[in-house]
Amino acid sequence: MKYLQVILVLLISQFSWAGEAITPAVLPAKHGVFLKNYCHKCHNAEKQNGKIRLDDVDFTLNTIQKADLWQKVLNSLNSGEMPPAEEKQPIALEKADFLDGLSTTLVLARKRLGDSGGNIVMRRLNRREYGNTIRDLLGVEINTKELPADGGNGNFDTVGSSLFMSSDQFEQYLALGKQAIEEHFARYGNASQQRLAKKIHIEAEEKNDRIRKALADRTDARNRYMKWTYAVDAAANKSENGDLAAKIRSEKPGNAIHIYFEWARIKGAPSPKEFGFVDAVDADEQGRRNWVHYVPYHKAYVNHPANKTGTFLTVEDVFVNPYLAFRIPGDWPGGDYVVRVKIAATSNTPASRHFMEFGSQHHSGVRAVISSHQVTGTMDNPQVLEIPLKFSPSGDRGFFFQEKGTYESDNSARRIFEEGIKKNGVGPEFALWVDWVEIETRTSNPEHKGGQSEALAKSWKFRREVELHANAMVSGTYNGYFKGGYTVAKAYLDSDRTKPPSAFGKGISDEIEAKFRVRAFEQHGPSFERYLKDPLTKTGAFLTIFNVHTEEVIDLPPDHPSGWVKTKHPVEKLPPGKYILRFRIGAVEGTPRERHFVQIGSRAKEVEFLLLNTFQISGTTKSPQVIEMPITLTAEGPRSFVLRERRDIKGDHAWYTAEQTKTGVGPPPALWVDWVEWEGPVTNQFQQSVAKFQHIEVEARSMEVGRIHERSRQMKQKYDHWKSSGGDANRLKEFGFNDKDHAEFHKIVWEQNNRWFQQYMEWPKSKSGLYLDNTVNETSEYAINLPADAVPGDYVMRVRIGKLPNMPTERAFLSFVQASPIDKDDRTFLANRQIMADIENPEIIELPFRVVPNGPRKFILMEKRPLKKGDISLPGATRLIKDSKQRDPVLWIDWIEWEGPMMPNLLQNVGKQILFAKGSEKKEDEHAAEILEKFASKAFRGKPVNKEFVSKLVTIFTQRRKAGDSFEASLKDPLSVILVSPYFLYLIEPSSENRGRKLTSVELASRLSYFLWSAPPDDALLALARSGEIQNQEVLLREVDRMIANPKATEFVHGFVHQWLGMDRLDFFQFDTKLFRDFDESTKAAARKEVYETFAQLMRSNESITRLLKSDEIYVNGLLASYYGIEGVSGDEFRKVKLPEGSPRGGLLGMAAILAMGSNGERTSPVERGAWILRKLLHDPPPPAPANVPQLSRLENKILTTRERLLAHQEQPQCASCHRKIDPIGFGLENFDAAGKWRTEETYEKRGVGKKTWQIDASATFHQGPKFSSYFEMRDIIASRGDDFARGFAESLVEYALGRPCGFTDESLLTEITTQAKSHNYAISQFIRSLVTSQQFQKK
Amino acid sequence: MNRRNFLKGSSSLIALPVLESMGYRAFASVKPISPPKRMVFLGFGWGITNETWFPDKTKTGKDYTLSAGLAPLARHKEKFTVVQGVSNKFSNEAHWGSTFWLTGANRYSQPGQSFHNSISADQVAAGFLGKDTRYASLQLGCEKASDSGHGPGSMSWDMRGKPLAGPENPVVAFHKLFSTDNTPISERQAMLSQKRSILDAVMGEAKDIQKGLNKTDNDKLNEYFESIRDIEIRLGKDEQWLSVPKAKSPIPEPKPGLAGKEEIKVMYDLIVAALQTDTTRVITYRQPVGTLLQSIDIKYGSHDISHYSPGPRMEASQKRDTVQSELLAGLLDKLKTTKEPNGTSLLDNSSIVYGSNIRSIHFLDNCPTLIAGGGANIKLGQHLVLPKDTPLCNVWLTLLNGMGMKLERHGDSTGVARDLLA
Repeated sequence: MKYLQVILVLLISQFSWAGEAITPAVLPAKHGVFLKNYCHKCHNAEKQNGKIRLDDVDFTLNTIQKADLWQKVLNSLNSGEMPPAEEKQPIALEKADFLDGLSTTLVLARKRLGDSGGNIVMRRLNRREYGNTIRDLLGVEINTKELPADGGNGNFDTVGSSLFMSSDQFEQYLALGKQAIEEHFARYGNASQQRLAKKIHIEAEEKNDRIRKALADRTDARNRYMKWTYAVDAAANKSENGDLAAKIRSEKPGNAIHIYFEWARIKGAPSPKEFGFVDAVDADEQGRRNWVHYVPYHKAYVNHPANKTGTFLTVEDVFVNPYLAFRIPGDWPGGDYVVRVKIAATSNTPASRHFMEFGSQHHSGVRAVISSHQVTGTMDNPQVLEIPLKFSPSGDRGFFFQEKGTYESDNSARRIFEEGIKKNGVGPEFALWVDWVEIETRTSNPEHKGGQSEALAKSWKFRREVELHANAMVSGTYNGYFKGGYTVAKAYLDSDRTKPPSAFGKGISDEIEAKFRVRAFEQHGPSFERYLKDPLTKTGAFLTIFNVHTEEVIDLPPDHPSGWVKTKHPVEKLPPGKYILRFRIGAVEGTPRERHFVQIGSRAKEVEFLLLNTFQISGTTKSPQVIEMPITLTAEGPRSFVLRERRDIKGDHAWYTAEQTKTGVGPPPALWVDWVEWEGPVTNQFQQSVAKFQHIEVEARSMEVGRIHERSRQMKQKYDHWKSSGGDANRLKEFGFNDKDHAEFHKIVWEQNNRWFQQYMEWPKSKSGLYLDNTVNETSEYAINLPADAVPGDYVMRVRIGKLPNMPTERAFLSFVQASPIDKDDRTFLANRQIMADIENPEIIELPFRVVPNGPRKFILMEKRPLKKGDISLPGATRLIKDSKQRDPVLWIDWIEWEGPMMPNLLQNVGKQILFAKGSEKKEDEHAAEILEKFASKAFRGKPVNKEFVSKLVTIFTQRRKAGDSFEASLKDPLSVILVSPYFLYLIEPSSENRGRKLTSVELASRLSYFLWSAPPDDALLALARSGEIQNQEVLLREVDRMIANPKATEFVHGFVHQWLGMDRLDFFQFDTKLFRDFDESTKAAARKEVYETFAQLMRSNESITRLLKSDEIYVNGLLASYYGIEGVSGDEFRKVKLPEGSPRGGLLGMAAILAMGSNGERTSPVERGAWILRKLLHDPPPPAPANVPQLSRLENKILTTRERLLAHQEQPQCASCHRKIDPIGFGLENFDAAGKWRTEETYEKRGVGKKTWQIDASATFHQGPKFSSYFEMRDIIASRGDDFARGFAESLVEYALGRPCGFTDESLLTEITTQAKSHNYAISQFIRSLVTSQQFQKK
Repeated sequence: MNRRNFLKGSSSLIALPVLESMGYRAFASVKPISPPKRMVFLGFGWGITNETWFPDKTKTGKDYTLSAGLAPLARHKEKFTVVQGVSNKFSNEAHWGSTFWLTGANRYSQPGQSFHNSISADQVAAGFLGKDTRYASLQLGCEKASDSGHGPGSMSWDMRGKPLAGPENPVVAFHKLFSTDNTPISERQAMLSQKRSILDAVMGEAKDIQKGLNKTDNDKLNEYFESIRDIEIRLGKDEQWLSVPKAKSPIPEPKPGLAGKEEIKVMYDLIVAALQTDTTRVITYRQPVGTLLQSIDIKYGSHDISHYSPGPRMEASQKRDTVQSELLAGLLDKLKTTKEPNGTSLLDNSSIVYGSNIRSIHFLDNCPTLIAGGGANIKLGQHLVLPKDTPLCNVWLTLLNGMGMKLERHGDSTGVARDLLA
């Protein structure tokens, strides 16, 4: 109901906007006094100096002329021109206040006069959108950098009025379109050629020959130098040269080599040319300087044993290996490749050096870093890093690896090298070692899947039906040891015992043993018998506890056949590598849920069990599940793996015996295995080879509930008995209670829950699926656990679900939640989905989610409601709900499936080729027409295609055909024409002069997808548009949720956040890595990504925008965590990290990227930071920098603290009018240095003046606002301004989404959006939802 | 008359390149032609160091002393004039050094629009000087122009006030100017005719769309129409130029990845090459400042040093001025040594404008302005201090008329700057 209310409110409130009168900007009347005092004297009716009259000036700035006049006033005051020096001057504060008031009014007036009146201008696709649209349409990436940059005027790049078109640009579109078509044909057109996968493998040590040779050359040069200098010395030491030599030496006393430079003056001294040098300078360089400077490092490299099998990445010395370069061969086509590198980090180097950069190298040698990666492999256990690579034939074919931060510039590389020498006399320690590099075609397209990985290496796959082995073993033990022994022993014991036991059969030595064997059979025999009689052992094997069949052993290969069944070995010994164990398993009905866990361990010796993993079993014997687990075989490590029920080995015997005493048999088995399988070695490259899939039939829930109900019933019964037997506390134990409270507790449990459990089982479909109710019982949610080793990546959860009739529709929302592995109450919303389908005809919904290293593996499905139990405040969510409409289930789930990791593939909807086969009866040009029309229809995003247009295209096709081009080639031109058609290049929403037409469904779909994806609608969205369902606001909102969850929404995050927060400033200057060693390009890239990732996570998990102001969690990767000094995070994936107490991070203010933007690359700029906060966080933007304000020069040659320097701003009223607001906020961030690291003191050195160090003082007072004594206090004050922040965010969002400046006509829209969002705790997703459902978004 | 015949017949009508370096000798027998006029506008975004770039205001005319910032230009002192006192009165954007520099427009002059611009001086010139060259004008730029203080859009704005874009790095510029097209002429003729079919097809689409549009959208669509019409005009030109191969480049293809000082140097070489081969006669160049600083080892941001105060930032600002002046001196050297067929130099026939809408810091008055070369027929070797607040557009008007146009106004001009006239 809530959403309907939202919509209703929007509808009502927005009918008023069209008629709303816009009030113009007015300069407050109080400023008249200033004019009167300082201006009227000259600018009045009589004098009108400069033809300007200010005595009758209008304070209402409602025309451009009036605004221009006031601008003049502002300009002349700012420049200090007015009032003239000889006239009366205003006091500083007075002037500052006037300037403040006037500049603010002018900003308002400009905004108001420039207001487009809510008109959304037809717009061209911007550069990002164009690239994405081509990508989605053709499945190729093109370089759109050639197109001119969009935007400007401080607007978003979606603002239509700023998106121009020129003839040059048109030509560029034509060329790019054709390029894209050609690339498409190259990739998807000529199938036979394309399918050939390419691969090269480079052993890194191959590079070392060159390096060894270089050392030999250097050694040779050294020897020649030594010979030469020796000869020069010899000549100098000749007595005839004695005086001269002494004279030369005295020219540069203490410089032993000076004499060699002067060799020519010494008679008989040989020329360096004779020794193979160009001249003395060359000899000195080669024979001495290089030797001293580089050769120790060079030698250390060549002599390092690890360089026999690989190579280290080094620093600076190009004769060694400052970067490892390799090339893609010239005949390889463009497409998706994967670069794989086996790499390790050394243990004697700091973790901060364990990052590798990958990049491309132009043939001129210019290198550009593409990505950086954390190296976690060690020299003992190197890792294989995989880097996806999009390779375009027009791009560079050269690529390289280097250690992060070793090359920012020649100078910095040299500096690092020299620091290394200073430290150890050799050079920087080797940090990264590369074993080999591989480049291989990657199959990103379903059609291209498979084919090559199998060919890489021999691998095996082996499946075993476990019942054969297990039954043979169990029945062998039973019939042989137990029953056989029993028969012999019994016969012996029943005899007169004159004959020894051996006379009755084998295996029993004496009477004692005979008695024991009889007892053993009586005790254990029935358990074995029960096992063998169970029909399920005909198709699989149970795992029992303590006895019978306690474990299933998987040997790789089965190298000790049990003796009962001979298994054939696929191979004698498997090579080391990664293998996969797979087994099909189910839980036995009626056994307790806590027994539904299976353990996998490895076994090196007899009975050893080294636990590898534990899985919860949700499958049943009727519907088993397949569990898959990767294992690693090392050269000498264990090859046996054991499956068993999770148990307490020590207690098992007691449990077994107790149960056996009571019932005659041991505890019934809880797990049943259908088969086991192993496969491998698997090559690591294709993630899908280890992708997992699990289908879960959820009706077991009913059984569980039944069991809980039954146990509870028993406890209640006992309670009643106890009560009726007088309630004697001493007798509690007899009834199975610990004490009185325990007994009372069970009574309460029964009273509170069992109605629901009872009822649950009575729901008609509880035996074929599961219901989710709105109580706090177990029946309110369902958890899915992914295996702990689930490979990180993108997954999808599929749920077949329906809603119950006659229940409130506002409850028909399914929430998808993840639970923290550490704190079970720490839950995060992933998605909310409205369920439309009926229980009789359920729908299958897909919920994408992401698994990150060490991240949550537990996912929960429940009806939409507050996440944490403590947060539950909805009336429906307590135990004592009376209203069955609020309490009883609305949602019913048939089954659940999860799958992943999915290939990271944005192009899933493409690959539908442009070309398709010709129907036999068709003429060629008809066929061409068909292809063109179909492509045009897709390219035009659902707009109908004009027949005449198609026929013109066919004419172009025919022209080419007649000119002799092939059918395919002749299509290229007409196809690229489609890509310059205005229907493709523009988002067109035709409308007559009357504004306010409702968008058609297809237009709405485009507006939506360009908003959230910067890309055209996909098939699903277009289908909803075509059927008109998109006009249903509930369907629309469901699409919004789907689109936000989709990886394509990254485009929105990057496009919007980058512009909203003005992040281009991050690239405006180079950080001096001498001062900020850690803040190199990689760190900067990670810092930038932190902003995006944080926003994306908050958006996708329905979190509040205010968490950008302050938060106790951050989203970082290993690199950034180490930069922030946060322990325990490693890897390249960004993930949520809880901050330690007192950390200054959390929220934008603590992000390195934001702080770095507020600097000049060397020192902090409190002005930039303060202005940014006013603009972006507090929604109180200072006016743009005024022109022509005189600058202070009084402070030259003084060393001032940052604060002292800035306080000078307050001296002049022109400056003070803005800086009094800006600067104090900047002071509050002074604890962060220019690169965003925390500091407590600062040092400033001014050449020739001196040096000063001071303690950071982060206290200040907001202009006309509160005081703060520290960064933390300031952050709290800013965090308390969530309403302002939300308002500013909403304005930006509206501008970005509607493609026009957010103007005054948007007041009511903004109010609605922020009000709605506020009622949802300012969830980012709610801003988007409210905007999308607004009239403005849905109307032209 | 079919297109092929037209082409055969029309080739003698083409105004051919006239320079010594190419073509001229081969066609010299046709008729002696006096060298064409050229205009180049070089913008340096963030402005200069106020204290050390301008010559002393009290010493004007011929006998002035070059300032420190202009010192590297000493050898060309007779070939340029420094103008003080000019500005664009509507300019209020303290970070936009190029957007309104050549237009003098009022950003806020259109109600309901937050941005408006009008035609720039170079485009006025292109309409006049660009008829006979392969490209009527060329817009050179740099990446991240806003970091270099240029402001949004372009330096060049067409007659509808829309920005014109062009190559943003030397390699792209080189290919645009000199990349040879090896396609046979017949093939290229077919391509031209095909392009007409393409334009015809999309024009039909645009007309179809136009029917249902309101006024603002129609204005937007007009940009599309106009760009197609421009291409049609260009196609006509291409047709004329079909049998004329692109000029052979006098310089090798630039290395990719150049940034800052080297980038500007190479762009200057390309400017000379483009003029020398008569590929175009009007060029604008939004020079990089941010990367220039990095390339001369100044670690400060470009905006940051434009707010210099005495000390290291002012020194950095001065160093930037010097390097920029050195680069300009190099350009003038090359223009001077490139000879025209009649014995004059390229510099004698060109007007090279060097300046910005921003003076320094946030000052938009007294826009730094330096005009070199004899193309516009102005007084050279001068230091002129015009009355305060003389419209910068008066200077543009003077130059344009000096080129041979007969204009009454440009932007907010109030008349020609008589003091400039030779």
